[in-house]
Amino acid sequence: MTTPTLLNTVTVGSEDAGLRRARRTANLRSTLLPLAGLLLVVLAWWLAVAGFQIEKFLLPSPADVWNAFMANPGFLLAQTWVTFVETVQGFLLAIVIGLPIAMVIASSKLIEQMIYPLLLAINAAPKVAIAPLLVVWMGFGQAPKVVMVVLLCFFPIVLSTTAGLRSTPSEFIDLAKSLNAKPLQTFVKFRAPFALEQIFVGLKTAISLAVIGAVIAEFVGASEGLGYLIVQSGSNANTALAFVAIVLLALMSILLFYVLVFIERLLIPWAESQRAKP
Amino acid sequence: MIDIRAIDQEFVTPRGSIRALSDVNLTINKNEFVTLVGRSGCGKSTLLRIIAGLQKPTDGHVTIAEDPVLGPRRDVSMMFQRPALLPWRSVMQNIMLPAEVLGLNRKRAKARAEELLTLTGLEQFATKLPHELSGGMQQRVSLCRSLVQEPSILLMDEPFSALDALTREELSVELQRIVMEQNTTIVFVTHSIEEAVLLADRVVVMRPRPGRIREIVPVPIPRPRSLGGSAHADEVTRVSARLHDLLHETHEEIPA
Repeated sequence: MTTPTLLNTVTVGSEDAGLRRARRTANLRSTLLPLAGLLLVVLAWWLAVAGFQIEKFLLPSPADVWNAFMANPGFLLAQTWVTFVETVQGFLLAIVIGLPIAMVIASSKLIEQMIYPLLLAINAAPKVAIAPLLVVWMGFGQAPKVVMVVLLCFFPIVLSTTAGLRSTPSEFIDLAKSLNAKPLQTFVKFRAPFALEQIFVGLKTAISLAVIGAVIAEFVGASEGLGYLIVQSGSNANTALAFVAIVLLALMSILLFYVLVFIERLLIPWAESQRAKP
Repeated sequence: MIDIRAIDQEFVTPRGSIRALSDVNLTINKNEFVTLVGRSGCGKSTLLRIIAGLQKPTDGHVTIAEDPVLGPRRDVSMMFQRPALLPWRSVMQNIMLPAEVLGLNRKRAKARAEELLTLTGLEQFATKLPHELSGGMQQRVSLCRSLVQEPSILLMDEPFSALDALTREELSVELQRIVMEQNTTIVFVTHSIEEAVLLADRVVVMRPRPGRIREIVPVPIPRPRSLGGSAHADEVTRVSARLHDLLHETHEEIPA
């Protein structure tokens, strides 16, 4: 009995080392390849602008964009910060509102039938059309921006959390039942951890929408932020500055997305290891 | 120990009701190992769920130690076809799950868990996560978990059927060894005649549509039993043949 067990330990150990090496290679690839892709696109952009002699107000070259940023980096970063804060506040608020609603929906068919059509209706309303209304109701401050972000990313969060809470495999529900687990125990020990993976799918969808929401809200009735900057530079035909704003927004989106990926790996390390299994 | 009286079970589906069990009567003695054998759809898993208190029968009742079963009991534990290990918990934490949920004495449960890990040869894997283990080892962990609460009755629903043939045999032999050391009454659902003959004191053969008991076959072979060569080969052959006949007879009765 002892010998085979010992042998097993050895195999498990070396498998770990192999896995680690494979993961390191995969990590390296996953950072280098996107960078290479990005460089190629920038290069093509540069060549196109230089080769076809495109007017600067139509399409600025990468150098123009860079110069536009370097002309006033402090101001631009301050605008980015404004949009960033609105995005994150709205996103967190959407989580705070969305998670309990999803829990209620997942726990009762009756409530689901009552609330769901309403949520669908809210989600179906074109948010761009609501933006001016929010300004009418809430003024020009930060509130309408945060509300817009909530409106946009609330739905995927509710949807994924509800699906996640319902996705507990049946044998675990039986296990919980056979142990006479109380509802709270079932939720904490079984349902919620199983839901995490799906919740993060929703959060990752929502975070990109959150950035979009902040920009839409800034298009109408704002005096700062990257969305406001895009509108302003558009009306001045300062295309390079608009591009700077767009690039900053893209970077913010990517950053926020990877922050979520990082948190996901911290919270559910088992999910990735299960996926990696053939 | 377990008294099953006049159990009827109907399931209502959109396409009419299905009779899963009809007039099932069975008495299982203390520390007896009973296997339920039958084709798919003969209601053996349903019967197990009724004993577990997970399913309320349409008619009839089950008593355990003279107590009517109204829901899951803490002296009855269940083991499933799949290991059902929580992927975020280590082997030890998984085994301790029933202790947490049932609010058992932690120290005692921990000692019991360690004992079970040794018994199943898993003592070096206590801190591993389930996905780091093979299917057979996962099912061993599942067995440890179902024994940690020191149940007087263990219900097993085709626990080895998802494993490959060799692991399956290995685990059956191991299960026999483990239960010989515990005082546990076991009801074990299986498709496998070999498994039934290896493990059971009595084999309950069930037939489908509606599910009911066809015959109860005693297995008078002394323990420890083994697969392969044995001094009781004749007896093994005789009982297996009887079970084969019974199961195939059931088959012929089903209209095509």
